[in-house]
Amino acid sequence: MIDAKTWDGVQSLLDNYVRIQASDTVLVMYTSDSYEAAAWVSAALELRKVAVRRVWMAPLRDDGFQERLRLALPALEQLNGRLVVLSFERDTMSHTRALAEAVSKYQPNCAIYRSISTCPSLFSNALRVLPEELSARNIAVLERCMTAQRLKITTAGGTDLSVTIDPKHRWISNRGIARPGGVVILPAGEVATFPASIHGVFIADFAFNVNAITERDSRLHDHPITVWVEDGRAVRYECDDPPTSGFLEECFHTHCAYNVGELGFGTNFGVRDAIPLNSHINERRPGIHIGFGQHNQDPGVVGYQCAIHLDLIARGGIVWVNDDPEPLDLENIAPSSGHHPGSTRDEDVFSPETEELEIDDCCGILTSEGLKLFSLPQAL
Amino acid sequence: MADITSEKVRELVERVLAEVGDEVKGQEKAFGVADLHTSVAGLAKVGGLSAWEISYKTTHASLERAQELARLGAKSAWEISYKTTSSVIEKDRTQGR
Repeated sequence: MIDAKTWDGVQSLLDNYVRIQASDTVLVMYTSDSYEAAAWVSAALELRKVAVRRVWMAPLRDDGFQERLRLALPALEQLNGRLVVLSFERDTMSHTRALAEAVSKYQPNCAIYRSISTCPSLFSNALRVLPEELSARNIAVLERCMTAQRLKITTAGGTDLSVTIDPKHRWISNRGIARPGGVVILPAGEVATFPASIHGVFIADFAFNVNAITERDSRLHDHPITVWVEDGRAVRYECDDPPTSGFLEECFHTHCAYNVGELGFGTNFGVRDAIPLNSHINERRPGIHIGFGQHNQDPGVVGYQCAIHLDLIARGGIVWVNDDPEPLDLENIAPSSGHHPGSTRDEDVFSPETEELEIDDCCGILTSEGLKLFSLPQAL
Repeated sequence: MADITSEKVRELVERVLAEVGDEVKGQEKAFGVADLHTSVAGLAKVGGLSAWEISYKTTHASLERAQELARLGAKSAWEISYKTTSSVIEKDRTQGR
């Protein structure tokens, strides 16, 4: 049975993130590992007398998904309000392109919220924080760091990193708020970029999050990982726990995985203690994290591709910006009342490229039946 | 949301859980994989297929461009000439309004 905190989180998702209306039609997409969450949300919608349809999906590879999705979507003329898509997966993010293509004709009356790391903690901790509260903290981080040239980052666990920032590298701000045509990735609460240069020592004493499916306990408080970074690369790593050390070896053995591909700042203060699940919930915890392997920039800006992305996460973080004597304490961010910059990217999780569809250009999709138009809102 | 007792909520959640559980069993059976969880876990182990990615790769970048155009409310991807309203704006601008 669902507990009270988790049920409150379900209500928060609908009220504070989705801002559900009686006129909305909701499509719940879910993988088997997240069927309980699909049921909780379906029940909450039924209580509110909001129309809900469900689509099961196999994660990552599912040849029948597009057809099931097509059959579940309402006819455009039947829609009275918005089409709201809520998806729930535990370990994966699947079918990004198939979904984007299927719902493009509903824009701009379509809102998409995609959850990864679905489990009770997603609702009882991460989603109980208001998106406006996350946004105000993200803005505070961006106001200090986006225009910075140099950062010095320390943690209570012993991290000491020197970073330079180049404005050519894009910033990502996941705050749980949708822009028209965009997708909200949940759990929310993170600011990230690519460091132009980074060196020093990093102690991950909170958790790891890797883009693979693993049953391994992700918590690191009993056996922190130390990584020495030089010229943007991990040059040495240590962990007292032999199984974790073996896991690190397996990860860093992947081509290009020793590159630092992300510098992340968690801002979701609803996440306090690490959970065992390999998850984005841990990554959103207030603190610093480094993503090794695949980077978060456009392919033309950073020129390597890596099959792996391994986030190593520290508890907390103090960030000194340029020569400012007042550091930014990630566990005590003073929310900003400023405007959120428009140049950041919202989404930070996508499905791997496994689908057969190929986007030919911004207007067309190459399908097995030839080139089809990729429809923009009310257009093309 | 209408007032409802916690007992009614519990009954509702249990009923919907059972419904969705049955859906899963039917869909997994139709999918034709004996053990879907093991199959996917084997597919997306370290060094295998990614379970998720942090950024668009080459082809995805095009999709992101399309979404950005959508956010801007673009009626088409690009236009070759001013239309009427644009001409008015241009006229206003040149006349210093």
